[in-house]
Parts: sequence; structure tokens; C-alpha cells
Amino acid sequence: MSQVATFSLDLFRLDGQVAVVTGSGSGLGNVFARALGVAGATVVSADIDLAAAEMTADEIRHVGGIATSLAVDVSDSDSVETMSVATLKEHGRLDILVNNAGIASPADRIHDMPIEDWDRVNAVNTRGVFLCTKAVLPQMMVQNKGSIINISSVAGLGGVSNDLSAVAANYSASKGAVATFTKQVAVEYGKDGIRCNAIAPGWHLGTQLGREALPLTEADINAMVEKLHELTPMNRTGDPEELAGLLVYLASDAASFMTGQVIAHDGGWTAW
Amino acid sequence: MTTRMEGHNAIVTGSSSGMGRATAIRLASEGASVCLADIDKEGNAETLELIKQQGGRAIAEYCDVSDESLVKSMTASAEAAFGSVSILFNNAGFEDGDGNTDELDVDAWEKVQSINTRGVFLAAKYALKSMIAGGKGGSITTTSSIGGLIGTPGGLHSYCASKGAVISLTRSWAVTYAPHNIRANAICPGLVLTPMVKRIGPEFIEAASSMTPLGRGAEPEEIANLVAFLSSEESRFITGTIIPIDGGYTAQ
Repeated sequence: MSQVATFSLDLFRLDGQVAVVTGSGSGLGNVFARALGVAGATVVSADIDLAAAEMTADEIRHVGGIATSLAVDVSDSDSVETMSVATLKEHGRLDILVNNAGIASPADRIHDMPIEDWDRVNAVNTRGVFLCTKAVLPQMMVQNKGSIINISSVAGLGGVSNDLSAVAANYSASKGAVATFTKQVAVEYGKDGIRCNAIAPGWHLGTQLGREALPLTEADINAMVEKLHELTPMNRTGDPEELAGLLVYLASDAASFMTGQVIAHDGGWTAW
Repeated sequence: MTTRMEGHNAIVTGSSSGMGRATAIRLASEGASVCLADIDKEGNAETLELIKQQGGRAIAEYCDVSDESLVKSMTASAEAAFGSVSILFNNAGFEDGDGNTDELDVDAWEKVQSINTRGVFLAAKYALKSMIAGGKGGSITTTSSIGGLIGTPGGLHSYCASKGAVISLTRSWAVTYAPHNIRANAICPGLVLTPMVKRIGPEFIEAASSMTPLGRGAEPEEIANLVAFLSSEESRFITGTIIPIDGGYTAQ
């Protein structure tokens, strides 16, 4: 028998809870959706690319989890509303939202940046987070329980040198907005039993985020990765799978007193 | 000479060089009477001479800030010369013998703490008594460091810990003494080209410059400008703030 019988890692389990993950078709979203599925949640895998969303759902079912998929454009309010209605119709409740869908543009410096790129990135990364959050709050208020996890970025916590050719002002500004929005949601809805936290990932390779932003040649990418290592205390980039534990923690009752926090997952990038 | 600080009585610790000297000269040049408190008598006499050359009012006091009786007598001297204290630049700092934790002798740890934490506490203790008794409010500016905000690989573990400690102390003062109209703020300089930094060596200065968005270290006078502002009436609604002055180092 354990000496601390009231303490149990079952707190991390999500059985019976319904989780919506946006941008679940690739990269970090795929990891988040699978992690929630393994922890026992019923996962709604949502992506603008329905086939990719369904592939993630299939991966979850393949390992014995429960998952459905749907198409969503997070920047479109009707599409987001449809996502929330369909989730409730099919699963009856909505406990967890992971606001993960995000894009980047070519990493132009500010004086060269087309306004279209500014608007396009903010439409998904900022407006999309607002719309999805807005759509799930009423149900979470009825349940008096909910956990929202937004995906910010270390680029939302401080400026990043353009030498890295991967981050531009539209992206970093949108992620800064997400960090502050997280705190606002936490303060506004704490009394409704809803928690809201953000993860600020540092450099994680193997995602699709940089497909527009990154330099094209393999030599360029290798040079950049080498520089990233040098600038990271742990001297490496992150593996997207490493984010699973933090995400499940924030989603679950293990984090029942944690809200309004923006947690860097960056190998120490922001610690110096 | 200007008169923005006319009627103000300032104590500057660590006034024999660097940011302390630059700030003492700046405060005096704006009309404040300044008590120069330092363990380095020679350097402190130079600062006194520089202030007198430009027509300022100052006295120089030998003071080891880690010694309570010396801090008490230094503050009494400042009061005797100029009246109750209204400004403290709590700046004396020390890093010699510091290192990485796994190799750091506890005596070396304590030596740094005795000046950077205990000394900051003691200087504030007696300045606060004087400010409260004077009844006209006051301003304390404490020299922290970007090392008090973020991890740095420079092998200054006791120093960085002390700089984090004074940030918390500054916030406590701000909250506790606000009813006396005494304000307390901390500044967090990045690379400043002081004698202390120059002792560490040119390689350090070069490396730190390259990691600073503005690409250089600050001159002590650039820090003095911020301290003068925080000491003046122009900042009368600013208290409890922790202000990096670091060429953008912590913005990245």
C-alpha cells in the first residue's frame, strides 16, 4: 500500500473527456492528438486538410483510442461553429481544446513584409485562436469544467534574430497575442471552472510549420540547425514527441490549480 | 549645472568607479548633495574631486556596506552634512572570487553575498530610517543585473543569485514604504564598460557585445541617466519596477 493513498497518477487520465485539437493533421498537432488519445480522451481531430485529420484519427484508433475527424478552417467563424456543434452532437460534451493550428509565412523583415502575409498569419494564429475559444466556452461554462491549451511560441516571448531566417514579425506578434489572450481567458473564466494555459515551444524539428519560412537547400537548413544548437543551452532542438507530457498535464486534472501560465518548452532558449 | 535635484540629498554606494561614480556626478550636476560611500578611498576621493571641479556638493565616506556600524555612521554623516536622505543609489557590488556552483568555495559565495545582498539590505535599512524620519518621501534605486533575470554562462553564480535577491527586496520595499511616498526600483544593466567588467577581460566584453542586439556595452553615463530619472520627481509614479538596461539583451 502506498503511504500517500490520496495521491494518484490517475489524475493524468482523460477517460470520458472529449478533446478537440486543431491543426491535428501534422506536426505538433498530430503529437497532441495522439497523446490525448493515449491518455484516454475521445479526440476530435480537426484540420483544414480533412484527409490529414483522418490519418491522425486513424493512428489513434489503431492503438485502441477513440477518435473522429472533421475539417475546419479556424479563421472562418462558420467553420469553427460547425466544428463545435458537430463535436457536441457526436460526443455530447467538450472538455479540452488545444488551439494548435498555426502558420508561418516567408521570413521577410518588417520593411519588406507584404501586408497580405501579415493578415494571413494573423487570421489563423490570432483570429483562429479567438474563434475556437469563443466557440467552446459556452459548453465548458455549462459543464463548469474545461481546459484550453493554446500554442504560443518562444517567438511570442521575445524577439528572434532574422539571422535564423525562420521567424518573422507577423508570426512572433501573433504568438505574443496568444500568450496574452491566454491570461485574459484564465482571468475571465476562472470562476466558470475553465482553465487556460499556453505552451511556448522553442525549436522543434520535423513540423510542417516552416515549410514556407525555412531556407530551401539542405545546406542552409543544416547551417541553421547548427546555429540553433549553439543558441540553446541543451545544445539540441526538441523532438515534437517531447511535448506530449506537458500537453497531457495541462489538459488533465493534475493541473487543476494551474491557469493563465505560458510555459516555455525550449531546452533553455529563454532562460538566458 | 541644472537644478532638477536641488534640495535632494543622495547616498551613492560604490561611488569610486563605474556606474556609481557616473551617477554621483550626474546627481550632483543636477543640484543634489551627494554622500559618496565606498571602500576604495582613493577612487572615492577622485569622484569627490570631479564633483567639486564642476561646482557640486559632496562628501566622501569610507564605507564597507557589509559592515552595519559603518553603514550606520556613513548615513549619519550624510544626514549631518545635508539633512535627511531622499535618494539612495544602492549600487555597491562585488564579484571577485565568484564561480560555478560545483567549484565555488562557500566563503567566496558568502563574500559576494555579504556585499551584494547584505550590503544592499543595510544601505537601505539606514536610508529608509532617514527618509521616514524626514517625512518627504524618497527614492531607492538598486543595481541588479540581467544576471538577476536570466541564466548566464559567465561563472558568476553567487553574483547572479544576489542580483535576483535584490529584485525581490526592491519589490518588498516598494510595497511596504509606498505609504511614506518612498519609491523603490531596480535596474538590470547588461554589459556596462565598468572597471569591474574590464577586469573580467576583453574576450568577455567581445563575446557579450556580440550577444547584445545593439552590438556594444553601455558607458556608465548611460546607466546614470536612468538612475537620475528614477531618483527624480519625473518618475514619481514609478515604483516596484525592475528595468533592464541592456541594449536589448533580454528582449531576445
